[in-house]
Amino acid sequence: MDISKLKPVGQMTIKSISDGKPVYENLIEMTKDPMKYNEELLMKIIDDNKDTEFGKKHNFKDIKTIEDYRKNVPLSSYDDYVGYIIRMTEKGEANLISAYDINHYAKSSGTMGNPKRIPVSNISQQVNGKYNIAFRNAVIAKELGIDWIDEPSFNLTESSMTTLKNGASYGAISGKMMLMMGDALPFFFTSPIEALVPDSSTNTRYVHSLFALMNEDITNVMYSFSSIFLEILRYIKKNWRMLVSDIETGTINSTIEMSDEVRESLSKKIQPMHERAQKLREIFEKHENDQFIPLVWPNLKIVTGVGTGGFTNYLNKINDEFAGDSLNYFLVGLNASEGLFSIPIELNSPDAILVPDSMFYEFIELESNDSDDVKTLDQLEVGKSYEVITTNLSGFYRYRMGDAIRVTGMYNETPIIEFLYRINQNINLFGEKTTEEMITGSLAKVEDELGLNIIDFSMWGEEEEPMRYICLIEIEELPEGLKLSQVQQRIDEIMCEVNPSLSHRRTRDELQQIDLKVLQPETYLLYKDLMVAKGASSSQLKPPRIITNDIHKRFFLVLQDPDLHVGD
Amino acid sequence: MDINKELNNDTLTIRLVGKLDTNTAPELDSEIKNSSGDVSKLILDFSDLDYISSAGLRVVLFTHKLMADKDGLVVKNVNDMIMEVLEATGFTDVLIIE
Repeated sequence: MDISKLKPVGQMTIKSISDGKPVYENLIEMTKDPMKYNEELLMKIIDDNKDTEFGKKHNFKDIKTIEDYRKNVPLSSYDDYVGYIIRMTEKGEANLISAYDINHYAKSSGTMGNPKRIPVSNISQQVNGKYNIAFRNAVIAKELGIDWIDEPSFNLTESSMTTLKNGASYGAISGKMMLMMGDALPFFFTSPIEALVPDSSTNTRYVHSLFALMNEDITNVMYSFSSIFLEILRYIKKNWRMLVSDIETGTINSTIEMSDEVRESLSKKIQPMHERAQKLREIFEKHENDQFIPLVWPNLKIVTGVGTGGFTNYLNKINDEFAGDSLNYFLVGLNASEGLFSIPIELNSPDAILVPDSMFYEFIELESNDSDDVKTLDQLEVGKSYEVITTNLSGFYRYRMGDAIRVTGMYNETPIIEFLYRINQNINLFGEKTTEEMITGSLAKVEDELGLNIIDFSMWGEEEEPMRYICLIEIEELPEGLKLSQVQQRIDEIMCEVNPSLSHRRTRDELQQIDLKVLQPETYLLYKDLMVAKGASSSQLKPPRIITNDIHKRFFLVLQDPDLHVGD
Repeated sequence: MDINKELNNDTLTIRLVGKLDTNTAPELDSEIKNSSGDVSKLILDFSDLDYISSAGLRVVLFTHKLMADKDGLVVKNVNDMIMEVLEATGFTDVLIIE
């Protein structure tokens, strides 16, 4: 490759790869003695923040060891910071919980409750960019070379940003990171700004799909969650005739909802593409129901986003239905608004290692009854599961994230972790603790066994008599000859196999058989559309798989398919 | 499902008869997109609508967004069964229902 002839996207990416190489090498070095680097980071955070209001209250100036730190600073939750955050965002006060500049607050995602404002310092954003962009690019280049760098990405991230009273931006951190690219955005991504920073009336599924299909040379895809990529691929499969026709004529389809301003702006960005349209038409006419990705985008090799844990199922469907084995995945690790926890060091691996210079980590073993038994990263054991506690670069100290992780191995001396579930989001009627991971795995097995295609699902434990799990599924169609009672029975059996504690309760008749209910077609799309209409960020929305509030229960129960009942 | 349209000045009233479900929602979607261009206010009259599904609700939501920059969408004459659906799904917080 002649680097001097690279387009702007290639030039910027090659620089990013160059920046990422030392980050990669430094991380590998840190894995040999991660506790040293993690403790150094804690002491730096303590020292830097000793003159903040929080630091003075908790005697940061006298803290010299981890033990000192634990004596002076109790474990905390979001409620412990709300007062400070209100003063920071509403009154513009500084130096309360963090001495670092904070120009962004992340909007917590996914529920119908009040979103939180999670401070994200500028330093934390730099760490995020260092690993999620430069490091990622270096890992890809190390394994696949640099043939991919000179073409824009199919990016499904959408930014919905508002400005708080103190002037800071407020929205998903992924959207903030994207917007930091500024004027370079059009070079990097196929989707136009109207889809990347959409107004609420724009049908972004159409815009993302149209502009991606126009570009045969796409080499990589980026998204927050694999469920979003699958949703777009299904949209393309269903609407390819309209999309191809619009590519042929160089028009924005008049039936697609968007404002006049957006339509006018988008119309200026497209031209008739007869050859591309003809080629796409030939592909889809023959391969509408096949794995069309390698044909539509022959150079597409790299996919970046969350695809482990509860999102593995979506990834499997992307491969089975659309991609075959043509894609390489950079499966981002545990990456939260509070900071970057873990990152993979190779492609196609669900393993992600803790990043010692991103935040200070503590852990409480999930099976332990002693919440005072807090461990550091060097004390973790392979195979055990832990609650994560973070001291981050944005003013949270010994903060209980509410995330559960499992240590799956070690890389040098550094734990490899996988995200398990949100601790308050499991079903726990009798102490059986059925997690999202268990449900996802069980339903995937049922799909395989019975030839069923589950679009999405939700579940909760019904506490009123008869006590049972309610399982809601949206399916593509019920295979001929298959009865819902069979599906219900297999879900019940497999979940009991996966969770012996659940089996125990079922055997003792404390719990009745799982109650399966089928939702109407498009229910999960409706949920997403409605949440976006209420201000949620499309690219941050996760399906509510474990339902914990009555609002969600009512929403889904009223949308049961009247023609599909167990027992019919 | 039958779709009956009545244009009065710049207000379009669409009266739906029957079921608004997966099969009929695309027809309403297309009808609204084709007819709403020059109208400032759109009324969906549900007095003879027997049933609305998730797909139908998505069309109503899109219509709400479509009309947001104008004088808006009004849904009227909603029967008890459909009102229960609108309440449970949170549509009553989003729509103007008369």
